[in-house]
Amino acid sequence: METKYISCIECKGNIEVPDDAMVGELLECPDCGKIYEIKEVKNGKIDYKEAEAISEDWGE
Amino acid sequence: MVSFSLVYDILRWEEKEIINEAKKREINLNTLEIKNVNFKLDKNVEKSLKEEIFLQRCTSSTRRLFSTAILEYAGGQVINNFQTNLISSNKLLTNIILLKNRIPAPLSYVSFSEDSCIKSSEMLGFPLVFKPIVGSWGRFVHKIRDQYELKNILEYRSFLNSMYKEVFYIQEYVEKPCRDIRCIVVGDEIVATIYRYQANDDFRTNVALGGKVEEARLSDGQKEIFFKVKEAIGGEILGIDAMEKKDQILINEINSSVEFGGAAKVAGKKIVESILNYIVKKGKR
Repeated sequence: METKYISCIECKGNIEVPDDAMVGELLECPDCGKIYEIKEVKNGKIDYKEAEAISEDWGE
Repeated sequence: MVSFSLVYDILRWEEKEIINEAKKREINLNTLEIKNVNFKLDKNVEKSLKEEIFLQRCTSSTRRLFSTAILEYAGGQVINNFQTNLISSNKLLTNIILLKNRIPAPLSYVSFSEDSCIKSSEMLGFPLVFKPIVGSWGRFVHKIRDQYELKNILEYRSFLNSMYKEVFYIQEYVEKPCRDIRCIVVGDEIVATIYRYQANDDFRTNVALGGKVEEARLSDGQKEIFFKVKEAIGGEILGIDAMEKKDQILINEINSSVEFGGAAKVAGKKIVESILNYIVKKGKR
């Protein structure tokens, strides 16, 4: 299967998307470290957005 | 076929592990990404879910707590339930439950103003640990060596737009052997016990901060304390953290959306398998 990539909005770096990518999954740009969240996976297309910043109530 | 819904906001390694393991079995797993859900609160909500099972895995404790409240009101069986989420997401409430059940915990003081916090620190003594009552991953947890450091922290904190900013929670600094214990309980079984070692010279042991893990072999007496915690808080799937102080263990924290990536390095697939076995058993009841 062909490896999928999304493009970093910040630095245009290539971010690899796993085959089993799901909504809510976080992906980090290997070049600049910016983190994205998968918004939608439809017909093999990945829609993504900038991930939420960590909030003080996040954790276990 | 047993069905359940996994409730989440951010998909961490653990949620993906649960989803992938469920796919291998005869389990019908639905995903409920809570950020994209609209709950209409009308008279039809009550009992609309007919005892459906939900595994609550939100990363945000606020989303975890309030979505659980709605799902329970709608008749869902949520693992862990509202009460467990309420207590475990708050270090002060956890402390009270531990005290109530005579479970050993580090000595703590709580106060509701900066001046009172300074007085509490004089009673507790230094070094001490300053903790927000909500939060995880060791965030904003500070070891404070003297009153100057405490005053600095209080000053910085006063400028933060933080939840429960008026609650000042300080705790004795426990001289522990560079590690703490994480115990993962699923139902009535302890499925993994690990030591989490401090990363570099940090006094915190959170795996999120880079601490390494190792299998912990606990005595029956120590296991008994963890079971007592589970009984006291009433949860079904928990990660309970403890510190060793000489020959006793002190319960430090209870996690209701336990991250087990670190423990899985030691226990392998046992944790995720136990979680799914437990849900299947619950679904067949």
